[in-house]
Amino acid sequence: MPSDVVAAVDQTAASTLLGAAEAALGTLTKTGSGSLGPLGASYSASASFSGGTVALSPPDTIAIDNLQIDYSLGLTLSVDLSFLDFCIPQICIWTPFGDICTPKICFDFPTISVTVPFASSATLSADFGLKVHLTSGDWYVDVVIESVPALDLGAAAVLLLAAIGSAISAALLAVPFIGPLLSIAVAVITAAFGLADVTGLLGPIVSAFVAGLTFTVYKQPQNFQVLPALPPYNPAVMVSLAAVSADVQATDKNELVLSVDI
Amino acid sequence: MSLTGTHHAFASIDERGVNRALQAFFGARPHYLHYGSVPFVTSDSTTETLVQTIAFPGVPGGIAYAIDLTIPTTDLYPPDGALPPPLVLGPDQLSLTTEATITIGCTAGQSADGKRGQVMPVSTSLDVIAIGHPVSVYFSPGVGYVRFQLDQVLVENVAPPSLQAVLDCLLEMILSAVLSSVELPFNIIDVDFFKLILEAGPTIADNQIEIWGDVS
Amino acid sequence: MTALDSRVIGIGSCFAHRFSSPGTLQYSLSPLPSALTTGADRASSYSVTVSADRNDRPPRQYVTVRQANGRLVASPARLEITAGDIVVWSADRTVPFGFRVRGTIGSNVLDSAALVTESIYTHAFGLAGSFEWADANGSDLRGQVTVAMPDAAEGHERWLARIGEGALVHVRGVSAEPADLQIVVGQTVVWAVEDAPGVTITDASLIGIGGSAASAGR
Repeated sequence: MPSDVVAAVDQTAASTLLGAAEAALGTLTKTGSGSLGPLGASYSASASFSGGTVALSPPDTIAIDNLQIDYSLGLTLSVDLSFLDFCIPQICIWTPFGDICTPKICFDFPTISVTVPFASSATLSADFGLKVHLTSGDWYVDVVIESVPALDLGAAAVLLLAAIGSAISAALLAVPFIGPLLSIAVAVITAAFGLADVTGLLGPIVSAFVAGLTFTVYKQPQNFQVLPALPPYNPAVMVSLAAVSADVQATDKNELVLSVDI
Repeated sequence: MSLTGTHHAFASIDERGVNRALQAFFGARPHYLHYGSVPFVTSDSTTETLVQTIAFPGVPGGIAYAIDLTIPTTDLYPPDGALPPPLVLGPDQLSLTTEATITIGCTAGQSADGKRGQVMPVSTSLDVIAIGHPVSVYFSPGVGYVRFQLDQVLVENVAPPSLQAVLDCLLEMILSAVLSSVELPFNIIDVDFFKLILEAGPTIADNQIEIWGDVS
Repeated sequence: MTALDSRVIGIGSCFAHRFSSPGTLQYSLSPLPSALTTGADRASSYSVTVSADRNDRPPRQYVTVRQANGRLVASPARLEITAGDIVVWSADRTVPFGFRVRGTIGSNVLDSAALVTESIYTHAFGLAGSFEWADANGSDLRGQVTVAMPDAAEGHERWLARIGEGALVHVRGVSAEPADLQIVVGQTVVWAVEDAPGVTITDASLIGIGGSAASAGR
């Protein structure tokens, strides 16, 4: 039996709806930990989505090409500098009052935390499926990613590697007595990990935002308000959205169709 | 043929949906169906509307009356069945049927049972059929509504024809006034799927009201 | 790593004094430069006894200051030396900020925060930069130490050899020779103070005079 209400959009309007859904999703955040070669790493990351071109494909697929993910990362690396431990030997020097010798002074280098801020973007193309559900009294039509595509993070990994190197150098400069050991320290530390390690750290962080990516293109309460209350004698007019379905229908145009019984 | 056609967005509500919307509207705001003067209605409320008595010289306090309507039922083009002549339901039209009960307060001296000095209600119920068409009012993307404008009203089974003409006109005025308060906002036609920029419609075909446009 | 400030002797710094005449120094330790007064000398816990006899004692002796149970402790608490010997006070890693030595020997006051004569302050520089120093007690004494990064081409071994060489600044009165000194990171500068009016060797930025331009702190 046909539905009481039918609302449809073509691919052009579907792109508009998707853009609104991307904006409504806002900024997602995640925290976690991993490793960068031998270095411990913890991070807080955020991501938002925008853009993309929509292709509707029956019966229920929405392909989005070139969806942009803008992400930022606050990476904290734990760097153990104990390999630099050394001692200033006893020095003996003539003074007008006689020779003086200072005691030997040994320095243990600490484990330092290096914070690396980083931001970049990537694009992805993927198929999304339609999922209609009634949850906590609200009807949802969600567009849900069907599989996580491979993300091209090569260029970003190169930039992140450089940013890590710069951050480590800057952090080391503040460690007393590191001065002449700085180049040794930087060389040893940065040799401990490479581009593959950075990619191995960055990839799962960004992919975590893409896995299960869901845009809500429709959300309305089942108890749907047609007209608001107009005091003193006009209560709100409500209807119940008894059933909701969504699909992609193909005729001379492919359209995203929402069907509702009230 | 696509639903959106040369536009980017489409929305429709079928006959059953319109009737459910009218039931919801008049169910929440029954005062649009019940009108009366004292003593039938003493004050405005959500259930009834107070009107003035009909002033007439020599009738103390005027002629008391009440008008009660049942929730109208619509039939969208094409018609589900034949309409009584001369009514014809054409494309982009809908018919509305309702039962109108007209009551007057008959003061004793005019009443049939001979009691003097009391106001006795005297009622008659009439089947009313009207033909109308939808009109859109658009303000901004997603903000607007469809209302109904009557083209013709017929009160069935009234004689002589002159009385029918009087009642047709009376009920047309009353129904037009009632329907002027009835709005089908865009958000029930598209269930708020999008903010519609209206470009075409409303039209009535295939037992549904249809509108087209773009989204913002 | 402590700042360049003879008022607070911390890791990488030393205070030393040559005791020319026999006598006994009664002294106290303080974590703060201003905490010790003449009155506190009466409760002095530590001593250096200077005698005329050598008795096979070495000419340089060392006092290590450590932190124990919230207090500064000198070890050894009592030292016996020969006139002409130098005593070197230094902190170990338990001392969080540094210490001040103040006491009296006869009618003379010995104070690491007010260097007079035959007193020495040493400081190892851990960071590159330009460090202007001055007297926190208000005299015109001042100078500059420029600390450079070692030449990478010279190699790590050459640098380790260089930091075994100290650099001397001879302070006479309120004049320093040399007033400007160039060293590399890790080297120790030794200020030998003679006939001064009770001076300090203090980073000028700590006392609001001019400033130091360390490349990454001090």
